[in-house]
Amino acid sequence: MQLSHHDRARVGFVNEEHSLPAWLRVEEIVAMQRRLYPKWDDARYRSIVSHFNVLPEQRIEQLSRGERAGVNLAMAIAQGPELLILDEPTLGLDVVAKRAFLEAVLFSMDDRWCTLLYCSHQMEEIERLADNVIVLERGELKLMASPEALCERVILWVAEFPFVPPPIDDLPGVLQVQRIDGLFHYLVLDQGESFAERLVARGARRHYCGSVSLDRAVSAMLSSHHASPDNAGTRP
Amino acid sequence: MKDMLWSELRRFHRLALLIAGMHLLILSFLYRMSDLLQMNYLDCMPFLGAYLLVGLALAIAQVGSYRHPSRWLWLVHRPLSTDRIFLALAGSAMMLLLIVVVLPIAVVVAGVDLFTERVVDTRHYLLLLHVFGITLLAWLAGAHAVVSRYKAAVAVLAAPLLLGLHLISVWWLLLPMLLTIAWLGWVSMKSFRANRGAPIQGSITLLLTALPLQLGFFLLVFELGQFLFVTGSILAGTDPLNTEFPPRNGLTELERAEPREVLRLGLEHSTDRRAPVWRDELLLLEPVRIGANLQRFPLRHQLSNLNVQTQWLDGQRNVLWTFSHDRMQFLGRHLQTGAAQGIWGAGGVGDDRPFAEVPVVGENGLLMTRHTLYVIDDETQTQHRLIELPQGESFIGMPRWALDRLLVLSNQRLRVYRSDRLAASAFSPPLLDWSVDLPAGPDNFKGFALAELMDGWLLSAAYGDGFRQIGLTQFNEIKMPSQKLIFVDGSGRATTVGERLIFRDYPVLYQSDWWFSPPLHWLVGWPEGTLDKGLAWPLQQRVLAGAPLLYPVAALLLLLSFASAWWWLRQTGASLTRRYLWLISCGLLGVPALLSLICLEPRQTYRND
Repeated sequence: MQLSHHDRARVGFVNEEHSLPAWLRVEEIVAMQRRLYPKWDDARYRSIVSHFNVLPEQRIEQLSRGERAGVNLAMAIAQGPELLILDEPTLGLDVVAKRAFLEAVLFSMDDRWCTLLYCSHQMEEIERLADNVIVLERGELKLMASPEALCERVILWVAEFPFVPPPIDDLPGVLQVQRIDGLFHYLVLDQGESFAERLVARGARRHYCGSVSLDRAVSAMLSSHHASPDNAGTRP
Repeated sequence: MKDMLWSELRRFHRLALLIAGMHLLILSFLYRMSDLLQMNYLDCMPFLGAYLLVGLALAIAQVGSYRHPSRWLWLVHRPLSTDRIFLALAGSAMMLLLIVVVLPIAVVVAGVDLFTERVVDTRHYLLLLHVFGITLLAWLAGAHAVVSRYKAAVAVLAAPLLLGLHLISVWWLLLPMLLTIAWLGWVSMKSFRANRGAPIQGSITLLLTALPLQLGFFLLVFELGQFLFVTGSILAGTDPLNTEFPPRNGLTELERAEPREVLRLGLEHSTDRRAPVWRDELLLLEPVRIGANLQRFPLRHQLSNLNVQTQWLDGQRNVLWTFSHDRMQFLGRHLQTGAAQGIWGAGGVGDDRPFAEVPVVGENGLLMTRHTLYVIDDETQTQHRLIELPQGESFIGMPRWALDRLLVLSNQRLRVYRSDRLAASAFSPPLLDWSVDLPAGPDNFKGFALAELMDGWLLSAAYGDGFRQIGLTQFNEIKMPSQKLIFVDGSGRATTVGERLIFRDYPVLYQSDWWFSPPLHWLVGWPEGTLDKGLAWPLQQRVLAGAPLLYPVAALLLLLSFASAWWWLRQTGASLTRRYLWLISCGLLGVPALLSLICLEPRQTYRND
């Protein structure tokens, strides 16, 4: 499917490289965008770009990567999009710039009727921003849920097996297994208390469960299909 | 769109002004070295090449900078149609090319026109448009190539150049030039799309994109093949042109030989009883050669001068006479003072009557048009008509005085004239001594070598291979080179006294590109046959080659292309109609169509949604 230019007016986009014409001044490129987008909101542009140390008469090539990111974000939001796509926007930014960028995003999205699609591998950013997390792997939708719901669905079970651990096929929903200091750490998806009974039935001497961070939950979901050293022959 | 256009202009304006300044300096310097406006087309070729490169370089620098996916996204992701985005880039490129290429030329032409007495015609001003058109074509081809999946897509440039670059009247040339700009413009505009890797949508756009690509591949691949063959032959030490002694009884040997040697080689194969006597006699003679070296005549308002003289110097008066296409007269300019020295019309100095055709200036004060030969009388500053060829005959070589005769080669015969000693004027028309028909017409004719014997004349008529020297077209009538020996007796009666076939030195596949794709071969020759290019012997368009030896090769290639296309298309997601189109195209056009299929039809599966 191809987007018409009317559709494209409704979609804002910021990518990781913040590609802007290096030869133009900030005010010139802003003027260009203002004439291009009928819903342009100048006040919003100014309020977002004020998070960054950018002067209108500066050339794009004179801006740092973080400042370029700020201008790019301000322009994308000021055009009044219904969908805003940010594709790894903080990649390569220093800590200060990253913080300024995220604050600008949070500040600007508070009161707007706009869907934000934030693509990132930085889970702390996702945790701060996301209402819903979508996990895609190889073009396939693996999961969509709120960060809290996702963390609730992935549980860490730790068990001690005095003898041979059970084959992984005997344990349902296991995403990842690690053996640390003689204890088996199972990251399990969508399993209730019945999982504890299964562990006991398979010879676990003791066991306990705990919650995981979003980072670990997503990482477990994605790594279930990735190559990794086979710990104790228990990889799913 | 306007913003983007100005933005792109701002991007390159400093560099453009710098290059324009350098261009103007170079032209001004060259103007001091030679008369730029009267250069022949061969001397213009480096300029043409440079302007093509400027167009290509701008496309690579400008459009190529958006090739990276994130920059491409920035370019196309805006509430503008991709067509308008392309037009904004093209508009800025046009303005830049005008500044860099056209403006400096315009300054030089206008300067020469306003401040000197040199000849400046309307064609020189219209040349500006054509130079602009050519650079724009290069930009369009470059822009198309950099956003295409394969850089080889730049081959699309070959077709517009083939159609739009001809030495014809600048007025007539506007039509093919505008058509080709529109054609390539459409192709390039449609290659601007969000997903550059996807197949081209729409059958018409696909056809318009594929055809120039196929023509480009047809020319480039064959030329590359020839280049590799020649390079390989040189490395192996077997190239006939690269050996100290060319192959015996071959065409190269004949072409390199002096006229006496040419006649001697012919006599070796003559069974005539007089041959040994003639061979001895030849040692005492100075035979001469006259060749079919005039392939075309100048046309009025021609894009550029041909490689023939259209001006002459009156050494006595220090006046240079240069032909003006606007006035159809020669205009004189004093070389020392630069002052205008009047006109030279059809009747000489001061005669206001224009010439009917653009004349060619020959040696020894000769002046000729397609059918008429004049001689210039420097004393009286008039011209006298020497020879008027009969209807249907035209010159194919520059007449020359040799062996106390005037040798004139037409598309039908060699005419040999002697001076009329009884005439009162030194410029009276000569008398026809004798004439000999061209044994097999002007096609592939190389020339005559002739010697005056005690009892008549001995002539050698040589025919070469299938090469045609005009443009990119070649003869499809492949003939074995041959030599015919003719004796003309005292009464002017011609008899054949010897004949032999000559080895062609190069394989027949090297000599003609017909077998590579017969329909494209025809298409490449089509402009040559259709446009009035002033050719001395126009190309006869033939669908089938004259060499049956080439038929199985052509058929095999078509079959292979068809089979390869079928195999390639199996792994693409092309629709059934599209597959049929490609299969028919490859079955008819052969390898160039197959190469265009590989370029245009991605092999991975895609969905047409």
